[in-house]
Amino acid sequence: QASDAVRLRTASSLSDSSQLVNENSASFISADQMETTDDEIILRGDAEVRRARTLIRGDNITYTQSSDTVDVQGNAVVLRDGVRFAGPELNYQIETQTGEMQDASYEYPARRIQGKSKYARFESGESTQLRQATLSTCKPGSKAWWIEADTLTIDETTNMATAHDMSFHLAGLPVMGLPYAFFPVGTDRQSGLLTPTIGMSSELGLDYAQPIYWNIAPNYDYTFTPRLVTRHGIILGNEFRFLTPNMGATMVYDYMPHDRREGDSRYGAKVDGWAKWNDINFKANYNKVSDGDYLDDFSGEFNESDESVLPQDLSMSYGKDFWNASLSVRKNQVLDRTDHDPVDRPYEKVPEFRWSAYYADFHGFEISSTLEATRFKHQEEDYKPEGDRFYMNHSIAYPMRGAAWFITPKAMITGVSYNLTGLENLNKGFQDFVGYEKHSSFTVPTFSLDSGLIFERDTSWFGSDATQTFEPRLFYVYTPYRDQSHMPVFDSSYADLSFGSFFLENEFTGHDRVSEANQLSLILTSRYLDRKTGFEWLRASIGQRFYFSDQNVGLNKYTINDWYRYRYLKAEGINEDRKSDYLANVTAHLTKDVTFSTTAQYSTTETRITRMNAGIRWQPKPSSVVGLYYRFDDLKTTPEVDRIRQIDFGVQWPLSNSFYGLARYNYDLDAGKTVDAIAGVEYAADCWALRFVGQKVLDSEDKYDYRFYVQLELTGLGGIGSDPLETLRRAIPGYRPVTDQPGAAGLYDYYE
Amino acid sequence: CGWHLRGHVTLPFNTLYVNMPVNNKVGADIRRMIAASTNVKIVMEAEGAEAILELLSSGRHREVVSLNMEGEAREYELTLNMTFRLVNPDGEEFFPPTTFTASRNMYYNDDEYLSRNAEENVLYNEMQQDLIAQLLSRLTTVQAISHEY
Amino acid sequence: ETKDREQPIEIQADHFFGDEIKQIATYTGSVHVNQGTMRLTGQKLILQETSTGYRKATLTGNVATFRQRRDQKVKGVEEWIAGQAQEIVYEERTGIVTLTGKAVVERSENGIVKDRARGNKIVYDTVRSRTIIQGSSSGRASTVIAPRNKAR
Repeated sequence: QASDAVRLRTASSLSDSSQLVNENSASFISADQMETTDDEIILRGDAEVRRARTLIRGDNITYTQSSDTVDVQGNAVVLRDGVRFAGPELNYQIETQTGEMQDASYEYPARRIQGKSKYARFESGESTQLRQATLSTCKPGSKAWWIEADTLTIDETTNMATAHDMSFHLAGLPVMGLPYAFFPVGTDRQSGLLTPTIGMSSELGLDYAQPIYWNIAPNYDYTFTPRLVTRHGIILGNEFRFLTPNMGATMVYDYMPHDRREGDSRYGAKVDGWAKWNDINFKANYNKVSDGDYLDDFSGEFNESDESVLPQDLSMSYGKDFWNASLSVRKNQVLDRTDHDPVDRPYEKVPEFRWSAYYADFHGFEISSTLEATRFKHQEEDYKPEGDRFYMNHSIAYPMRGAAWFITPKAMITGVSYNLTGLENLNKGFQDFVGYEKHSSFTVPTFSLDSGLIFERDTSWFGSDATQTFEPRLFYVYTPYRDQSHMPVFDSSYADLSFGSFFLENEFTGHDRVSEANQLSLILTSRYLDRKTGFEWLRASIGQRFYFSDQNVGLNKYTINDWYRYRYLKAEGINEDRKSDYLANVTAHLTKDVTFSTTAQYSTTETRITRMNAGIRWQPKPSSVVGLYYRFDDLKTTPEVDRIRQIDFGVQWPLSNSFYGLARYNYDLDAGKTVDAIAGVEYAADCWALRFVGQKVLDSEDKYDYRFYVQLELTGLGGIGSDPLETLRRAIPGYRPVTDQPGAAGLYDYYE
Repeated sequence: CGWHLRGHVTLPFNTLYVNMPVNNKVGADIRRMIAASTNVKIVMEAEGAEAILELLSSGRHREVVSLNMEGEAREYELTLNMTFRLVNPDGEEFFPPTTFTASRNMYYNDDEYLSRNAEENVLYNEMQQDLIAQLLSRLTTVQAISHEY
Repeated sequence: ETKDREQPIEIQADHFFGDEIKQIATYTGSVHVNQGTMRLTGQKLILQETSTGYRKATLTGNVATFRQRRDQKVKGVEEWIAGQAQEIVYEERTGIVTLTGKAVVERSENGIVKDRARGNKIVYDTVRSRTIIQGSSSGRASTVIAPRNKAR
């Protein structure tokens, strides 16, 4: 029915699909003088043949149309997808992109790789064979570093270069020779054979790792990383990765046959995988280490190595439009690290079945519901009851909204029931005090009303037109009291006060406790929005909660090491105050480059700030950032050891156009001690970068670990030397390595 | 002193399709917010919609920001980002892919291992509402696409 | 075609001026020259009889054109060569056509243009079907070749 007036349509954007080079693309030929016969065209003087993304140039070219080949004499150049080969002469078949060239000098500008070769053979447009070749990412003629190889094959599809009888030259000196090697030439920094990691530290001594990367297939690869740690021994690191359309996994197994210091073998294993089998999703995240200190000593491939609990989870889930069901097993390994307080071992869910549904709009009603059945197990029998928990939660809300207001009444019913086992072998005194019952349950209704208004006025923000908003919001919750004092605590804890927790109906997270409520949270928010782009220059909010009656549901969660001392204290969560602490937050972009943000919690009863963090960051350009942060946590309920009052200063700044200084200083004001100090310098030349980084980090109460990293990074080939980038990226917010790889090159980026 | 209730906003199109699942909490909140604050009618099919709001990517990121005196992770910074773009049926952009981000600090110690995910979700849900508000303030400044012929 | 040269030359023009002594005939005003399948047009034609008895035609005009069918090599494919330039010289004896001044020569198969050559001076040998394209100091000689069909 497109009968209405013909509308002009703009042409779709220049399509740079790669399959342009085929037989139905025309060839454009030019020269100073041209002679054509039936089958041949002889071009003389600055001759050029161009077809789609292939360009051939030379003094004289003879182009034979029947075989679609060119014979180029004098200053021959062939340019394919941005890859440039130049030599005295060239014989090339354009359509199949095959051919050969003597004494070629070549350049892969997208990957900054260049070099020379006695003989170059082009195969099917995706790979090139070079004999007696050199390769480097430095400018031609620079002697910083290069690789010489008897034969060198560069495969553009897998971004890998394979070299035979190769020698590596650093600053003109042959440093290493190898019969066979391959390494990445792409911009992604996988580790390859040539990127050993060198570091020194007070804990490990010399730390030298030599990854050997074996690219079995485009979607299978295996990295074997022998690693020498002089204070401990040899670690044999293995990482196997595979990926298929409906399955993928990374498996790591690092094994140390004999650790001189500990006297026995140590290992670290990790499986991170997913699979899809007709609509059912499987997921695995399994970690296991030989002992509590393994991560501290050798961190390696594991995530945050400063945590003490490693997940060992397996789950399968199936979902349809508005509901999702899952069956999962969640175990864990707790690390008892030397010089660290023991951690309260979490329960294991073996298994947990969960069904949850969310229906966004049933005649205006928003319905969500959850059913859960979990079997809890724990290794310590005498203080940790085991058993099954059945949980249900159904809620129905009716969101009403206008441009400047919203009201959302919500009704909810929650039910929890327990079947505990093995109560008889609990510690007698503990059981008498707590009084767990074999069967216990409760159901409780909850009503909440969330409402808010939005006022606006025109104003300006440092000269540019802005709209200021004023958004008061009220959130009332009513939940009657249910006695839960004789019920266990498997996975609940008391939610920290945050802008998120203001809008929670239940002050406890997890499914063991539902807090009594007759409370009203009031939150005032104001924003400065740029009138042209809607960009949020500033957002400031302050909130407080008013309790109209006591909250008598306690968490009564007993950790095995201190239940006896705390048994007469008020259980966490019980509250008789009429007002909560104030919570305030300001986040502002003072200018395009300067951002300031602070969140503070002010206690009305103690009339002081109990928690705060504030930070200001100035980042004029990517590799220049200065940040100052203050972090303070002195809440009554925070365990003594976790209370902090720290300042944190991070800077990365260019000292000259190729020298960069970087530093971080994290100092705890109460303990009067440095927590983490880093200083380093980076020198970036055109094709290599050198990083020296020293670090002093608190390992436990009074023990520091001194680490020193040296990293020589050959742009395009990955770094040599331990990888401080990760540490720096975590330590200095906004840090960007100076040699950040360029983005993927577009098809027409390097076209002549 | 200039304060007034926020008014309805007229956008240069009458129907909008949001490319998120129907029963997705964030998608539902976005649809309700736009329907209430603007002249736009939300449609459930991309066919015939005069504008399409596309969620291109969303990501959650957790970073350790401070250690306690035992060298244990104590405070995390959670960051949520969502990248949206608004196009007309011909693929012309009302606004190009724009990333909205929010970040909050979360206190944590290993004794609360099992409830960490729940604590994180409390913060992520609140950040979600913040991003939706930022998205709406960007949406309300959208101009018609000019076709110079 | 190669046997065009044996055909008679037929010329139409508005005016004619013959110079018997120098054996030069000058035609002016929408000149048309036909010989077999070859056709030349232009504003002014100078026809000279060379000593060897063959004639030489020099056609000028703001644009002089040239068209000729080529011997059929492939069944069912009718190949034509067409060109235009500020001056076109045709020598009957050698069958060579020389186009100079913004010269363009196009080869078409069954009416579809397959190649187009441009240059300051193009020399087209109708007998051995060879073309030489000359770029001047500033102008380049260029040719666009349509995609080859496998049939060739």
